[in-house]
Amino acid sequence: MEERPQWDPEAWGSAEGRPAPRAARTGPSLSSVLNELPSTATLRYRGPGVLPWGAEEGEDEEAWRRMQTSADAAHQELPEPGPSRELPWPMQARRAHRQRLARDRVAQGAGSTGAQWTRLIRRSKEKVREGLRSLQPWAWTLKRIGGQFGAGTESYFSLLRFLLLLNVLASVLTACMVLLPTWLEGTPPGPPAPNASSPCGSYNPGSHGLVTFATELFNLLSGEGFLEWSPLFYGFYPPRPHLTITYLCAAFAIGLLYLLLILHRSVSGLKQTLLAESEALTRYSHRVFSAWDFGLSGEVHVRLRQRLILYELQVELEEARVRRKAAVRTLGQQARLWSVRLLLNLVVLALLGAAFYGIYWATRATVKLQDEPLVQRTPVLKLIVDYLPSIFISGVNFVLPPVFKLIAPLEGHTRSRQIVFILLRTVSLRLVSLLVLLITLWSQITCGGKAEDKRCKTCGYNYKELPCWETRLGQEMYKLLLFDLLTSLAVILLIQFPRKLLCGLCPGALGRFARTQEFQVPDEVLGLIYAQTVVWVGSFFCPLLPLLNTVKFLLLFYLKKITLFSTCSPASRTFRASTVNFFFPLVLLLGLAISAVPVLYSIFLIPPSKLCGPFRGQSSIWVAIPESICELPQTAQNFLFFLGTQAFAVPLLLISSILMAYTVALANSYGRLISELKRQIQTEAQNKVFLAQRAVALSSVNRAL
Amino acid sequence: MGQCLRYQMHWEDLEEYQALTFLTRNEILCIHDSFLKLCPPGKYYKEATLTVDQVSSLPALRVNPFRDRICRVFSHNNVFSFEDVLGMASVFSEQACPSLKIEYAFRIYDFNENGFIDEEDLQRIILRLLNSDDMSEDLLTDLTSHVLNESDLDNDNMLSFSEFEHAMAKSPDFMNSFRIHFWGC
Repeated sequence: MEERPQWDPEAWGSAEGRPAPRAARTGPSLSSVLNELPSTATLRYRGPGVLPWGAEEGEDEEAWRRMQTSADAAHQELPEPGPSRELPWPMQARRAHRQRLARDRVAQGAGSTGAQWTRLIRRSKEKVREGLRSLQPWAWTLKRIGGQFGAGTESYFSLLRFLLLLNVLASVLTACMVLLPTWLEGTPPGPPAPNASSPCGSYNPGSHGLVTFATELFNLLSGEGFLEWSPLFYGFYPPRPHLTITYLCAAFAIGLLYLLLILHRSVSGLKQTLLAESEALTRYSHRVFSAWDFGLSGEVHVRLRQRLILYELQVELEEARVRRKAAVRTLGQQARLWSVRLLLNLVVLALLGAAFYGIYWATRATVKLQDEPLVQRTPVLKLIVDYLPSIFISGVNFVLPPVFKLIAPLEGHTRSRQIVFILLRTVSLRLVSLLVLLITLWSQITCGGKAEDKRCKTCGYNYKELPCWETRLGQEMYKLLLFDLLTSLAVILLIQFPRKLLCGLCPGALGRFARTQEFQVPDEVLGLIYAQTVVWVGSFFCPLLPLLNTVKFLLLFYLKKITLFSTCSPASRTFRASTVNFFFPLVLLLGLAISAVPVLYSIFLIPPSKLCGPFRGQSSIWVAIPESICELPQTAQNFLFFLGTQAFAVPLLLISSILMAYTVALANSYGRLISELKRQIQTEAQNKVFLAQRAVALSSVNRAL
Repeated sequence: MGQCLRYQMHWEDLEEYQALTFLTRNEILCIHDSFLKLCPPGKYYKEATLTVDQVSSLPALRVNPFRDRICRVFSHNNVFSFEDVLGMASVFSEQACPSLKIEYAFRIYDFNENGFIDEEDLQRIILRLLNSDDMSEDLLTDLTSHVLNESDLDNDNMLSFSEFEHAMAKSPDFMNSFRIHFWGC
């Protein structure tokens, strides 16, 4: 091979191949050569009769016309496949393309019925999708919120709308499968007589004689009295054979519906986020090119957004500097940092442990205090004692997250990792506090799991304290729901509005404090998920809970919207919509999984109450299904019983594991292919620049000759 | 500011626009209404044009730091016909496909229109984003070099269209932020 000639760097830019400036040169310049490459064809072509982009204005008419006709000709030979509206051309060009496609289709003949069918199916799918999208309520409100407060806040309201849909569907299914069969076979009987006794004690819900209005009100708030024997709670439903089957099937069907809808919603968010390369590699490009939310309107919001972008870019650069410093930390500094982190994590664990013990204590104390005569006499005290677990949980959820926010910066992580830690801690606080409440109730119902305990031996559950434990569980969830709504109302009326009104009149620092009230997206979303988890746990024991939750979420939507527009200013920290779309559906799924555990445990393992409910007298709630399967024809029986055996479950597990391992291996190989291709792109680009330089040199040498 | 002749849009035209853009029926009719209010009196809507200033002062674009680039990319001969406006709304609608948005984003961000996003373009983008005159030179050069380090695969100190496409296709926020709701519909 001949030795590489020395290029004069001044003639064609620096050695890296930067294109020469656009001064008039003899012969084609490097940039004009690069512009004529086939890969820039779409960028240049602007449709028939339009000046191709990047064409220099100063070139002579003939060269320009030549370029245009060649571009037109090239595009007429190979029409782009696919729908016309995806082409980046002006409308006229797209219209011509569509007509050409139609002509080609006619020319090919109507013989290809397969192609016609696929087109018909595609068009009808599009119409269905558009129809569904137009059915969604509040679309315009969500757009307005997104325009003023950013995509993070819009995602919160979109999640609220989605949960509303879930609850509406669940209420409809419950009404069809539980309420309808109850009344179809005649009015259900009333509560058992107060003097009836059985080996499992007596159960007398309902009001005793005349009660005051205040007591009625408190009964409404705590789910006792007239509400206890009502369609609201499990205990009311009569032990009719068809009702047992539909009640159980309703629970499973609704659970499956929840799972499918949430998975459907999270898949789109997951797809986007999993495809994204690890954030470390494309952080800055994303910050620069996707930073500006084009949907923003309004002067104030725009200025805030600009300040915010500057702040985030500075933080980003600061973090890069911190990371560089961290890489050169000495051993002593590292040891100190890790001991600080260990200490802070212990503090967090201690706080969490204290919170959980407090909830455990409160739940136990409620049952003990309820038997005190003083408490029985004063309804207000009784109400407070009833609500003690809810008050504790709400208090803990109110106080601890700000503490976490204070602790996180001390750990020396980057800001994005701090946010992850704060979120993880808050999520575990909320979900585990609910779990602790449920575990305490469980230990009360089953005497701590000891079936031989003298209180649980006769009936399998603690019949003296909890004659109808399912209704009691339903009541706890009902109280949590109501208290959550009351706390939201209280926060809005007593904290947010006064802060805006009063401090808005104060000058200086206080006034600024009032004006910077923000909509805290992660806290609000976690509160929403917590409320929905409570409903999921309670809906088996309180069938009308989804209906109540629908009303609650409707109220919440309008309340939050009014509060947002009247008191809040746009968030000073953008919470990216992609995080909301990926992280929060995952937490929702986690909530669903956590709520399934107590329900499934009660269905399979705890004996149902003997005095109330549709499953009274059976050994377990689940037994209704196998008994009804035995009434089906023999083949159906064999098939359904086979599904429950190990001979089916173990191979299923094996096949799923194999599929998962295969998918992981496939993903790994794709990752390796991507890095390989990137390396090839780099080499090819170097080749391209080298060849273009060579072409320019040769043509100028030719010109000189 | 009079109105155009109030022609109802023909049904075939509406169907055609629905097939050629990503807009829904309601959005097209909304844009049609608003266009009629703004265009000069006495002209048929298909022949009327809006000036770049008129489009720049729409509420959706008024505060956008890139409005001059948007108007330049989507207009022909410095005026907007009705179909140009539809094309612009289609690219910025929610239903538009990512490839279309990335293509037009590249054209909008290429300030000097040389087919590449080079350092000069990047600096202008950052200045427009921040809209502050007291930007330190160090910050600008720092940011520009970081962006080029990440996305410039062939080391020519510029982003070609394929490199830009490669970077943005993996950005989950790009689709969310490259949206404009134009006419209050």
